Amino acid sequence: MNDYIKTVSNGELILHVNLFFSVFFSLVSLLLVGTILYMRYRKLRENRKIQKRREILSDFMMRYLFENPNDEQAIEAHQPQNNLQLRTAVQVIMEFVDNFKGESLELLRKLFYAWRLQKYVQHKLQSKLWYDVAQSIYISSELKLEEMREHVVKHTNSTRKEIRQQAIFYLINMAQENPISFLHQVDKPLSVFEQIYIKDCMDTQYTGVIPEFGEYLEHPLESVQIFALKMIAEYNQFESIGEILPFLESEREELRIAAIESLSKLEYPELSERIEQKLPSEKASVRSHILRNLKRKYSLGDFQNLVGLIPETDYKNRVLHFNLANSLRKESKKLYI
Amino acid sequence: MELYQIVEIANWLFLIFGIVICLGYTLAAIFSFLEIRDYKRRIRFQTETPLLQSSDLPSVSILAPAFNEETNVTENVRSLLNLNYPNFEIVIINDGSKDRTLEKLIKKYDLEPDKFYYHQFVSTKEVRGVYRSKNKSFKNLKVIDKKNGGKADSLNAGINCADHEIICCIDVDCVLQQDALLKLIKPFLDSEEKVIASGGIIRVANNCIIEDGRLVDIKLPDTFLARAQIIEYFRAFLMGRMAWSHLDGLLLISGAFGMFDKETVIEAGGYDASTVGEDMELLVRMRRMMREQKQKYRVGFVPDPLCWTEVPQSWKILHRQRNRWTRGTAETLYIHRRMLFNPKYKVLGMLSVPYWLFFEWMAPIIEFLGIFYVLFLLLFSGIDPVVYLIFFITVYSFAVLFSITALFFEEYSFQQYKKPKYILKLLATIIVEPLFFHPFVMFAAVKGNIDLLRGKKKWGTMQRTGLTRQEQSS
Repeated sequence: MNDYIKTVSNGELILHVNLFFSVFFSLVSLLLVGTILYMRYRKLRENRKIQKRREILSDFMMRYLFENPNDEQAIEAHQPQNNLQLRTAVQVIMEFVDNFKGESLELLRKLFYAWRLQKYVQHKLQSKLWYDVAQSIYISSELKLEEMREHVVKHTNSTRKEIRQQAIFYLINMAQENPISFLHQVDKPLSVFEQIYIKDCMDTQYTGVIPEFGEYLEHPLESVQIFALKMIAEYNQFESIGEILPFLESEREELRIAAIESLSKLEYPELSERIEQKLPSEKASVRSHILRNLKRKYSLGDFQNLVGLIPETDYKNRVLHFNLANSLRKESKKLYI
Repeated sequence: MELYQIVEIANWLFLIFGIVICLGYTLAAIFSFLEIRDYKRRIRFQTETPLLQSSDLPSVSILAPAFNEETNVTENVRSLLNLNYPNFEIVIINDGSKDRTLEKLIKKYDLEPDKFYYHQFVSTKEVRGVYRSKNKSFKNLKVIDKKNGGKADSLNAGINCADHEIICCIDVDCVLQQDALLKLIKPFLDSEEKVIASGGIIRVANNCIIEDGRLVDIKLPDTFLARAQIIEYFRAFLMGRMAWSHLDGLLLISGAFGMFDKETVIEAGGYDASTVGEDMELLVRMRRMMREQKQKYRVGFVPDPLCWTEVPQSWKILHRQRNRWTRGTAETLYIHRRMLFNPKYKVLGMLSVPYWLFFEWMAPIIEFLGIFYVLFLLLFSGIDPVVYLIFFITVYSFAVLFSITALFFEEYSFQQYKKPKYILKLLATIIVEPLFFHPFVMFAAVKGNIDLLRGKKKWGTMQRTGLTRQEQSS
């Protein structure tokens, strides 16, 4: 039998293949170890360089802002020379921009142009790599670079989500009025994440008049309509109530829900009456919102009667029943457990 | 059939299995790299601050089962109370602890019985009571006291009592990063499809410094066993799950830290208390249900280091843990055997389930049989040791390469172990790990299968030595 086994096991090819792969795996392992150590070394070295450069730039910029903004020689002396210095310069300027306003902000922008950093940003904006484009728009947005607008607008419907998001934030940051007019051109749905960030940009960056969201209720995208419904309530635009009411009859349940929530926040007095009569015929997900809004009107007992009208199989309402009963538990004398 | 023919067939089967496994791991490494690279680029421009201020952010119920956790439970709750998230509640489920877990919680957080309408959306063992704090500072803390029923049963009780639509299931002794919830919720916000679950990477906390429930210094454990598990976690999370996330084929979100859509969990029937692999089983069931209902959905995965846990420091406890993991995997694969190679389930049926069957569940068994096979050849056929050695070196060098690749991914992505000496120690661990740690884990897995066949259903206790905590500030 030994002979047979030897014939199988000592086949020349299989042994050579194994030996080849052993050497190959070991070499790749060594290469990776080398790469790991090099990456660590490079990162430490780079961090040290960045740190040093940051200190130099911060010192210079403090002097530039508060002592001598016209020292052309000093500006030229600190001109970034390589990619790392360019990156660091942009970062430091962005940090300063975050902390200064008015005249200082103008000086920082002047410095940005004096160092020709806009070329660095423009170069990235024209890159074919999505992350370079997104980063470039991000920088343009933070530094409010108006000359990038033409290029950025093109990206509001980018297939890459990250680019699209940065383009949207740029347009809001740059707006003097009507910050969300770009929504008319948007053809990709807005995620909740984007909606949160748009609202945040409007609250923290935009200083003009809050736009009328009612005009976006006719937008072809449902997500934009939902966003508009939320914002109408958020900014108390009572004058748009009339435009919201037709959404209670919308064919799309998400829109009906958004309309109920919006009208509820706006404390529309006839809401309870209008939605209560729709309760038996509504879809489960909408019923939950109807009940949630009706809870203010009812005691726990009445509320349980109302829920009792809904089929047992309606899972969402059982969940709601439970949640509401708990939220109303203080009104009840009964200890449930 | 002659013996030599059987031997020849066996040789080829082992060889093919080995090659397929190596190819599978190589592909996983490629997909993981792409996913990590993409993620690193994506997070460059994102900050969580706007999320903290938003009223649109879903509220989250954190569910943390506790069984005999009197030593650390109050500290762990304090750590959870410090999380950065605008609206969340903490639901601690005392699973019939035999020690003073409940008493300690009542005393520390000034708890009193609460009037609570308890509805069993998912059936559980008897719930004795629900407690809330009299102190308004802890108004988002809820403690459920129930009869002992195991982790899955406790989580189900938590689901029944959770106020919010998103639940986050954690191990009570885990240390979460302050922004863990903000990061884990992102997939729920930024997807066009319904997100049913989102998971994160689990990191090893042994030897790390914890202060006031926060991780303040990341250190490498002193013991080989814990370091080997760090390497293993790199492989599992940075390579395995990242790759599956890229392919939308994730079958497991770790029970130590995962976020779920409560409605979908309840609709799927909650955790299965009859299996010891309840975390994997739940996700597979949820995904299966969504696919059968033809609903579009997604499972998110966040690679940031968000959750830190203590891993076993003794061989005995490790054996118990791996034994249980194997039983859990086998049970889940058996329960959902209809998904295997079923094109109806797409990636799950054609790739994920077969992968788990052949490479996760079966690999230790085949490896174990392989050892016996080599012994058989050595004893009865006079196999040339040089031939054996060459095969062994090939397998060993691949195992080392795979672990080094995982370490490379860690270095490329999050670089949590800052000191250069840690890298050297991890490299040393990688060289030794396949010779000692891996065979042990393999034996534990084989024993797990034997125990499963013998009908063992127990979890076994997981004794912890405790994390390195700095003195608490009052």
